Amino acid sequence: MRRVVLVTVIAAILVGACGPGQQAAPAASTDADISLTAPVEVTLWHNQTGVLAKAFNDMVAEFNSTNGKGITVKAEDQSSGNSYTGIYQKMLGAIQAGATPEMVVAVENQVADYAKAGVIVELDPYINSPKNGLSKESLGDIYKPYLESGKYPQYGNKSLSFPFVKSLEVLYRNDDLAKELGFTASPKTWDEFEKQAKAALKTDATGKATRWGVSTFSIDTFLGQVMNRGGSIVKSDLSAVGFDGKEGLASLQILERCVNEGWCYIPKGFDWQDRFAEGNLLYVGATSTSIGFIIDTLKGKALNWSVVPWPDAGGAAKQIQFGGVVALTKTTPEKQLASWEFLKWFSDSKQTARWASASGYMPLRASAANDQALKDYWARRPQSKQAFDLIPGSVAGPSIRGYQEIRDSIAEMETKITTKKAKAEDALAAAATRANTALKDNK
Amino acid sequence: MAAEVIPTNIRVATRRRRIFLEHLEAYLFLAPALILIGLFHVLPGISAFVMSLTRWGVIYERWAWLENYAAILDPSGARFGEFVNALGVTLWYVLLTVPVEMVIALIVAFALYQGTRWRGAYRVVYFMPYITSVVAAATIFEWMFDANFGFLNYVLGLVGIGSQAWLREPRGIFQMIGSAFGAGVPDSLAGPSLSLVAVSIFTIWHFIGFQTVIFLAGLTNISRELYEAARIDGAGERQILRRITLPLLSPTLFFVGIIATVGAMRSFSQIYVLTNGGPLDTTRTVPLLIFHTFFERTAVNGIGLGAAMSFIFVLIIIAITLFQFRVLGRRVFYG
Repeated sequence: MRRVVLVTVIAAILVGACGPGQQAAPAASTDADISLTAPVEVTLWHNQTGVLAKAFNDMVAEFNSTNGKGITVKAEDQSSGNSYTGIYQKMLGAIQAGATPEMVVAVENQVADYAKAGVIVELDPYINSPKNGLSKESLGDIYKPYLESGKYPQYGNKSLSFPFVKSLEVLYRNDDLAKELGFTASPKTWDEFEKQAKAALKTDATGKATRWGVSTFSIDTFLGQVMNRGGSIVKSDLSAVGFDGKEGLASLQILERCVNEGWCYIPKGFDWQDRFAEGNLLYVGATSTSIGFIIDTLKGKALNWSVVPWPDAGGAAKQIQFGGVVALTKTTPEKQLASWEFLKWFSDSKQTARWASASGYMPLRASAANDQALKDYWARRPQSKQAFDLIPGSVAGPSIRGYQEIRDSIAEMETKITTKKAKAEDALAAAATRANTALKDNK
Repeated sequence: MAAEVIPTNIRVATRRRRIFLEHLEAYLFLAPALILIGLFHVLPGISAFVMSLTRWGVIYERWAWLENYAAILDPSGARFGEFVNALGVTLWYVLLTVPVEMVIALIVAFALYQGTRWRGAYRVVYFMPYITSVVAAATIFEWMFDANFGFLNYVLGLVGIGSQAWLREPRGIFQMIGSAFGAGVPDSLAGPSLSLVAVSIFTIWHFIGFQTVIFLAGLTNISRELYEAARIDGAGERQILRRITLPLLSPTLFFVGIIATVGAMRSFSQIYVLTNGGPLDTTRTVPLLIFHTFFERTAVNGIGLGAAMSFIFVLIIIAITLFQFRVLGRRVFYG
């Protein structure tokens, strides 16, 4: 009798195991589908300082008083002066102590590091939750490049972060100077860009440059240019870097020529803003968040300037975009859901428009363009709208562990060129070797 | 009445008890200091050593025994190259700062010792840089060293010398001097970068005051009678300096030499603020490399490797200090 029961049970298990293939399985209920039944307090470590911190804290206070679910977000600036590194260093300690905040602002490669410690919550169940997630329309409204940068190839392409403060690398042009030099249109090719920049060079009687065509490129200008030309930063299988091909060489050789021929200004920190405001720089490749700083530096001085598209060399990406994201840490289902509710609220059209007009960061959604407050803001700052229009053609760098080391290798390569310590071919090869080692170490 | 005889075993026990109580009292007095040193120095030191024997990225991964040490000391590995480079930069930094600081501080101390009228005020002025916040002062020096609009380049311009990149210049100074005279100097003989020299200038400015005060205290301790007796015997100023001042000041010189060397090797804040190890790692001293490994390459066993580098560096500092004791310690005259 016992044997019969055992065989029946095993048969039932086997049939049960094979069964679901025949019929549609109901959607699995996850931690993302629960409801909040009691007040929840969550902490967010961010890097907003000064006036931005005030604007951000005002929004957090509004969320706390209006969410109706008993969620209280405690926003703490843990950045040691607007730095992602500051938060990262504190997070490392928090991870060792098992005392992480529920939400943390970071850049993608830092999130990839945290995920290695197993403390980061996968967001796909929250994004797609039928109960607490985003509708198809809402998801489609968020710029795809922003969502793509939240997917991490070293972790099965899972979404581990959500966009928070986004910017993109743009080209600022002194329109008055361009007009004076006879360039009415923005450059369509990199050759044309170079020709215009060269024409802007002006020297004094001693041969010292007093006006330049462009401020030297940043790491992102180089990486963006590589993608603009059709190259990649890292190969899709993450086996090696991709910036060391002909696209990278062509990008670096522009830098080499501008340094050797003297038509680019080598800035110290952000002092290119002074040169630009003085009218002595035709182009600057920099982040879109510099718009506010340029306006501040101008101090009301009349200068016509704009954000122009980069030359188009045929690559899928026209610009590179970047910025802070938020990751949730593993705590309790209630706290995780409360954190997700805040992210959802903060990225909503009204809030993202409000934050963009308060901070100068790019809105996360296309529909934000319909917001009257943002329209008014753009009327005052047309350059921000010009940058906003470039978002759809932008692509983020890879969200992988080791990306910071890759960026360091690019910085080192550019320094070799600006200090004339190496030729473009050699500097590029050395950077690729260092970056490939980082990729291998981080596999 | 015969005295009561206390048995030997009781006497011994009483004596032991008294000694124990005396020792206990001493240990109780020492306890606060021992607890603090144990909690904040010994325990973290032991923890760091344990970390150095592990593979520890963002979190502990596995026990690694001496793998991290082997990775740093393996001449064919990438870590060896950067550690040796950082060690070379550190030694250049020590050579550029310590002797110059000591010579200048000694001269200033002598000048103040000669009975200058405003000695107290001068002492304050010289000591001021030392009590100034390193970060704040380094930020001001960063402006002064600015390649485009810095004060130093302005001064150089007044005497007809072209602008220098200072903190952004990775070329070696021997190479730069060579090229100014049309002579090519190979990279192996390039010497410390101009950026390291710039950082050293800041360090010298910052620490001269401290050393001046120490030297001044050392000079003040030398009995005036010795000088008077020497002068009566017909000794010249140079002889007095060589035969009296320097020998009697040698313990102070030795002390300052040791702490300045160790301090320079451990320097971090000013280099971090001024160059953060750049350009091209020419100012990346070992402490900056450890910081970089620990906090900027954390995911790749950064904590394990950083801790191992720290211990190797501690051993190097101890070796250099012992060398100084062996070579210079013998020449110290303790009176």
